[in-house]
Amino acid sequence: VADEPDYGLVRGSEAGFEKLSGIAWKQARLAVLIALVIGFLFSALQIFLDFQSARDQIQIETRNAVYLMTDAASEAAYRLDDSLAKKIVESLVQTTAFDAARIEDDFGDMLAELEEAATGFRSFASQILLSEADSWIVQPLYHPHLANALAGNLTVHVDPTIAATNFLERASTILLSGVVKSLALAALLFFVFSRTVTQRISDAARRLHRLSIKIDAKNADRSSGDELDWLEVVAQRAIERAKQQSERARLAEAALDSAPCGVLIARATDDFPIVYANKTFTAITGYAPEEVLGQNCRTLNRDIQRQDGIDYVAAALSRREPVSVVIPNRRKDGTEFLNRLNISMVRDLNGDATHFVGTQEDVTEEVAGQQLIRDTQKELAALFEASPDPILTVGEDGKIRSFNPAAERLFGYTRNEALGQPVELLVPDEASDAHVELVNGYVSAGKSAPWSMAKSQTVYAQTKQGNRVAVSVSLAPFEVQGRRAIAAMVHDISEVVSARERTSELMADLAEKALAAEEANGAKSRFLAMMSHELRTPLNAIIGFSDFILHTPEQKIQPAKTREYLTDIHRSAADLLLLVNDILEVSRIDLGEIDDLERSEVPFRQLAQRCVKEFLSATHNAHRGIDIEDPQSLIFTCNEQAMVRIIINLVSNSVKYSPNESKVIVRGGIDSHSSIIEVEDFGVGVPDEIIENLGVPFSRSASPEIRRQPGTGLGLSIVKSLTERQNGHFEMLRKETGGSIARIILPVDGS
Amino acid sequence: MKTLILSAWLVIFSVAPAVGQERLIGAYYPPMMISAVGERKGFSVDIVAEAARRLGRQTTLSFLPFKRAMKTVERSNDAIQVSLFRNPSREPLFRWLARTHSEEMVFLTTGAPVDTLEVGRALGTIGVERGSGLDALLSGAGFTNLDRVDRPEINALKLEQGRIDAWALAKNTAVSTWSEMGFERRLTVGATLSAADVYVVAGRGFPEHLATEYARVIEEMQQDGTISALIQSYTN
Repeated sequence: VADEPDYGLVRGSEAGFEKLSGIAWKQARLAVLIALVIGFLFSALQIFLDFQSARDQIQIETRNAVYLMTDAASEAAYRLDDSLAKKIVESLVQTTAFDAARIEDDFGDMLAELEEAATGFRSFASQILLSEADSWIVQPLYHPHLANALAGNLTVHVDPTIAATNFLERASTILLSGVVKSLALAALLFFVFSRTVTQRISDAARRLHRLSIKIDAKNADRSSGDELDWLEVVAQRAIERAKQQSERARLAEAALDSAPCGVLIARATDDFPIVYANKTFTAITGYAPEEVLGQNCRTLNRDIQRQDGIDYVAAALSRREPVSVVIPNRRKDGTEFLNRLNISMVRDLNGDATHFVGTQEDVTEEVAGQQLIRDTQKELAALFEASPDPILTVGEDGKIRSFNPAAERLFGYTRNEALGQPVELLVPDEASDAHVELVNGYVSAGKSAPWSMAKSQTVYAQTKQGNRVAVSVSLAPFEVQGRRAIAAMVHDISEVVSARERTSELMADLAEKALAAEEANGAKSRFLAMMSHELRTPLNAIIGFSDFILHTPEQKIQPAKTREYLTDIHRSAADLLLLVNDILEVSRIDLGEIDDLERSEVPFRQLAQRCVKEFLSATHNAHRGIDIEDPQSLIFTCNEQAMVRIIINLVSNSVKYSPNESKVIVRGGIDSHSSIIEVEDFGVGVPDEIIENLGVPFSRSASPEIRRQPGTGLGLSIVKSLTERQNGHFEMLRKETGGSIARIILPVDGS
Repeated sequence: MKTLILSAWLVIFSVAPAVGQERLIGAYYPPMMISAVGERKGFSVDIVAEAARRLGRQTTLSFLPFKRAMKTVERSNDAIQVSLFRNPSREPLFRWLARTHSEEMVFLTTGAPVDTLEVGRALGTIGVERGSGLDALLSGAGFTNLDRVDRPEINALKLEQGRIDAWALAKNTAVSTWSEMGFERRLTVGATLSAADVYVVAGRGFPEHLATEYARVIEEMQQDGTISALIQSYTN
């Protein structure tokens, strides 16, 4: 119904009945018109026939009257009885047809004469209706005692005026009676119309109206000729509507039968007879519908001892009020069950209750369950009160809704103080905003699973006294009557947190130490691995060449060869010395012996030249490609010895991993707040693992090009350590065109 | 038209009668005029018949209603009404041939006698014959309680049935009528109110010499006691 437009004839609307009134008035007018036409036609016919009859009747009456009076007039004339003659003429004139009469005797004397003359309209009407020739009648009078002699004459004057007047009076009477009859006929026709047509149409329309048919009255007006056509449209729509309602009724009955509750419909009369029962009712009570139809609902109440609820229902029904109650009822097999009964009214258009609709549910188990729930609720309430851990609930609005005694003890607030307050009352100020977001996020996310707030980090609560207490909070969302809320179970874990913090510190310390031990162990492993090669190689050369010299017979000693061997022994010893120095340097660094390096301002160019010279001297290298670039005549703050060591190591690396005579540039510069020392080469470049493990002692690249050159993996580690101990920064850059740049960045002021 | 009819009627009925023959006209008024047939025709009929016989005249006798009788005689030249009270209103209408006798006018009742006009005026209804001498007398005396009829036997019947309180009529006529009708109740005759002469009359066109002859013969019959004898034969 809701999707149909409202066209006017809806429940409570009078637009449709105005149409019906139009029908009734139209029929009434038609009835009156028909009746008046019929009445006038009948009246005209009656007047015409009466006119014809009147003409003949007047002649007959005049003749009859004269004939009837002839004997009397003859006797009067014979007796010359003027008294009798007078009575005769009076009688004649009093009759319809005569206005004058006289009796003469045979002597020619007048015995009696009487005349009533007509004038004006009556005379005119008489001329029209009756001819003058018929107006006088002379009747000769004879008497037996006079044999054949004339006794006198009776002369009468037919009064056409009176006849015409009488005719006109009758005509007017007929016309008036015709109108009355017409009106009576109209009333009769209207009554007949009303009983046979209008009433039925009205009844039909009212039935349609009761069916809540919505009629497109305006459209009907446009599309139909008159009210009956309109009503036909209404009827057609009603039929369609009835079909729809029939289908809906069938669906409704099917729905009622499939309803999970029993449905009873009883007529709202004195004894409330049942008119419908669905299948669920049968399933609940055991009574088939045909067993209860026409019966009173008391059938279910037989032998029930507790009548309070039943009497309550009866009283409500007598007042025609809806009622909802749980009452004991008895099934057909005699067993008793608890029936949740909801009774509502079906009312007619006048608002009078016509039927009761009752739904029933067997709530025996439900009631028992509810009792169990109540018991459980009491237990939970007791648990809530007796819980050693604080429990509180928070509504969607973030306000505290319940607060148990343990919470009072932990937070210091009484229940009355806490209820209705935002839950942030219990949260430290610095965490309040985050807590609000946390709660809102939790609520808006619609989470339904319990969640612990303290799973990843310690949560602190704030007491009324301002103390912070470490707590674990378990959240459990729940919903009561559509309102979401969160139950928070709080546990004081301050002691646990203290212990955990202590444990964490110990664990961190241990981890650090383990890492250091591991690192040391790794360094040792790398050292041993390196020693096995880098220490053994020069020593083998020294031992081998020296052994060769020592075991060569003197006569076979060749000075040149010996010098060559000695040179090799010397170079190996020098390499060994550099290696030992590096190891010692690393050791010194690890031991922290060079943590406090004294720094001073040093001219870069002189420092760089000294480094190159010492490098070349130490390595007996004649490399001529080492350039020094100092465009800004840099003077920077550093520990000169450490800086010499750094530059020599970097130049050594660049020379080692660059082709012969490939250029190496030692460059100095400064920017706004740093001194920058770079050593650039155009060699094989620095591998990624060297960049990633920059500074790790004894780490070398696995690259074959790197591995071909001897090395301990200590040089860059020493450079990094010495740089950092001057508050500087060391980085290695690989150039896309080949080669690498080692960059030392030192603070300008040395701090 | 009416004139034409009347003229034709006069032509037909005004022809001269046969010589020596008169039509005697009577109206029921016992004992003077009783019937046209039978032995007792009334003493006035007998008187005029005797007079005609003595004059050697032929007569026919017919009874008519009283007014028709008078009018027939009045309009005829050969008709003689055998008996008629003489009064001023009738005087110019007839030729009064001869007086036969006088009649006493009285009030007649079935109870106490009514002897004076004053007593009669106080009565409820008095029957009287329309156009008679008593009608004129009582009307002239201011009576308003008169019940007029055309025949004496009607008043006799009304009196006997108590429909009128008194009956005003000539004593002989009343007694004779009462007797003729055979009523058993006694008729009470009051004192004589007046006396009226009774004449034999004819129309104004009745031949003079016959009128004279009839007057003479009737006078003779008065003198020789014939009339008295005839009257007594009806009244005793």
